Amino acid sequence: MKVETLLPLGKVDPGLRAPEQALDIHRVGEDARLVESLGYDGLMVEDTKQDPFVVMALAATATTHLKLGTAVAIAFPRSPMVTAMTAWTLARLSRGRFTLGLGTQVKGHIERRFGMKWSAPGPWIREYVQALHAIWNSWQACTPLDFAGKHYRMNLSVPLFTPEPIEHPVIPIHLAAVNPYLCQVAGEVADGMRPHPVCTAHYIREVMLPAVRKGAHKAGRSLEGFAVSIKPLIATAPDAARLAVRVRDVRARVAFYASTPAYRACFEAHGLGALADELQGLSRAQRWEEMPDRISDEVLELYATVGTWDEIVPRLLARYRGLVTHAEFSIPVHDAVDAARLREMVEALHAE
Amino acid sequence: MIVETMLPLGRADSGLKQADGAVDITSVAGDAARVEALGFDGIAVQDNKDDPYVMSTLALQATARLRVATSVAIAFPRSPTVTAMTAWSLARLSGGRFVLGLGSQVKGHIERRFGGRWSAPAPWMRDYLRAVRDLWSAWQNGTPVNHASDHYTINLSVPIFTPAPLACGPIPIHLAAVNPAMCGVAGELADGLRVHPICSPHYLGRVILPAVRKGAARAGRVLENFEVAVKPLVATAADAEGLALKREEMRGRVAFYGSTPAYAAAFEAHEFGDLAQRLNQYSRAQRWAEMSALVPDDVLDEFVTIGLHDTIVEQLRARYQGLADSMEFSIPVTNEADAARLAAMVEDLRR
Repeated sequence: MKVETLLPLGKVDPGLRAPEQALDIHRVGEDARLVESLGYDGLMVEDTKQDPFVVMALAATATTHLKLGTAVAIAFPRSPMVTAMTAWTLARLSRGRFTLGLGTQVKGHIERRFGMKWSAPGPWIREYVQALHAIWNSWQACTPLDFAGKHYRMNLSVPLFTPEPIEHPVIPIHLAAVNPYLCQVAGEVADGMRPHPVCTAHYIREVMLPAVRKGAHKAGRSLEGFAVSIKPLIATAPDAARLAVRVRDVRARVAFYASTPAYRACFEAHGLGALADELQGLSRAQRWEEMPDRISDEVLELYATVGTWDEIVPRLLARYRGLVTHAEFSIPVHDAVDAARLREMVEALHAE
Repeated sequence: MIVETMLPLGRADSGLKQADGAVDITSVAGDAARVEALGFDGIAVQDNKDDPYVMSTLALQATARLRVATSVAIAFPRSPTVTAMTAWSLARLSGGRFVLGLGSQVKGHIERRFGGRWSAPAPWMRDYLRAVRDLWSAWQNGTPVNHASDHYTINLSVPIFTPAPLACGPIPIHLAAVNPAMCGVAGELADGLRVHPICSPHYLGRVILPAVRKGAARAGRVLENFEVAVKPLVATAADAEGLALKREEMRGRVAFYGSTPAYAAAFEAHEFGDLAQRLNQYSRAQRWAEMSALVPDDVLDEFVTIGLHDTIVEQLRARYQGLADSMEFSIPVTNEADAARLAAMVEDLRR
């Protein structure tokens, strides 16, 4: 499989807490070069505390062949025209290395963090992606834009605001997804899907991919080249003692995800709906400290891949090989020894 | 005078036509370093064919001293939270060299180009700027955000989506304005005004600055460090033959602006309102080719600073001293002699 990473290297998914190490915008160029030199296929950026497109611009100018992508940028707070232009600029700047990963976020964030009106996210993001394609096609073909949807109507083309065609006009769009409806939309209109970390291999295989195929079938599309890019929950460390700390952290994370109603389907698919309900109750009662203990080792193993540095790569391959096309993985790099170790792990993950 | 330039050097304001020289995104870093070496204070980037924040990123990353301003980014198609976050990233990246210039655009563009809903722009912009500032102060002080206005309710603070405070000072906001209502909002809330090229010195002094002061008075503000940034229409060349050509280009541009209803006030202030109406009728009838001839020399002279390279800096100073704090100016640079001449002009203009 292809291997991607976020910055900084070794960053673990923090759920909704603040990450241990934040991305340092002054180091993006240098770090991107390191990532490229380690044999990675892609560098991803989230839309959390920095503008993801600013980070992408810095990474693009520092590298030559690394793929770059948002994983994911929140779509709705930006007009499709804004996102289309940003992606076009980055595609030109990176000479075709940019993938636009988009996500819907949830109602509370769109309304109360971005100050906008909410609407059913599946149909909205479908139209958003269709609008992006219509805009890009009009720019590349030099034809007037005429898009009429329920959320967006765009039919004004003015030469001064119309970018010229570019050398790599096919910008892949990946959609973040958990629930089947969004997977179906990804199959209908996108080039790839980014399952949330809470999505297990079983859930991807049995729930998400069938939904993707349904969407593709509905749209009469082939899924040739469709990307499934995961960011698996991982607990890994050089040795057993340090691994125990990681396991504790990832257990808390699984508990947090289980308490989140939006992810219930991922627990129900494993017959764990009652556990999800229980944790949701604890979370509502603000009994946070009790939550991790409700996640047994067996449940932990379902959601997280656990192992020392010697064990982790074969375990990831055993779970995900043949199922996904891309996986995010990294360990912290402090010195040349760490770098060499990570380079070996990335190479091992490349095994097909 | 603070001296800025757009990229590429020598690019003239194009109205709504194609720009003379398009920005090449892959050359922005190199061009920005060159602008810095020429002695400019800043670069101004537009929001037309490339993402202005990506351009700003590249220009800031390639320079150490230069200030980079969006001039201007269109506000409403981005949630205030998006714009606040982007500006925050650029301020951090550059140690405080980024200026957030915002503009409203017009109804047709917001609705039909960006697919959004329109609303009266001045009150909307007021809410927008307040929301951006409320977000920034929450991030800087580590307090929860709580913004409520007619256009935006923003009151969700989540640690993972909350940027760390900045070490540099507050980010200046400049507002693009032509009409008095928006100038008033700038006076109330912004740190500077980005004046449209069609605003003559006369209009600037008689209409724009009084409206800014009125807005400031309404908000009880003192406009001590308020920056008035102009982008004058300029026709300049090394010799008389070249200048005659530039002058006719500018006549076409003034005709175009005159035909645009949003700029009618700038013509009416000179009692050229009838001309603006005629130009508008011609443009509706698509009689583009005939429009330039309707603009007489005395009208041209009101809107455009026209002069040879040897005198243009002095002419600009004479027209704008006391009215403007910063100015966009450049000439095309194709060889070392051009570069030396431009560096000398910039040095002169900065005096």
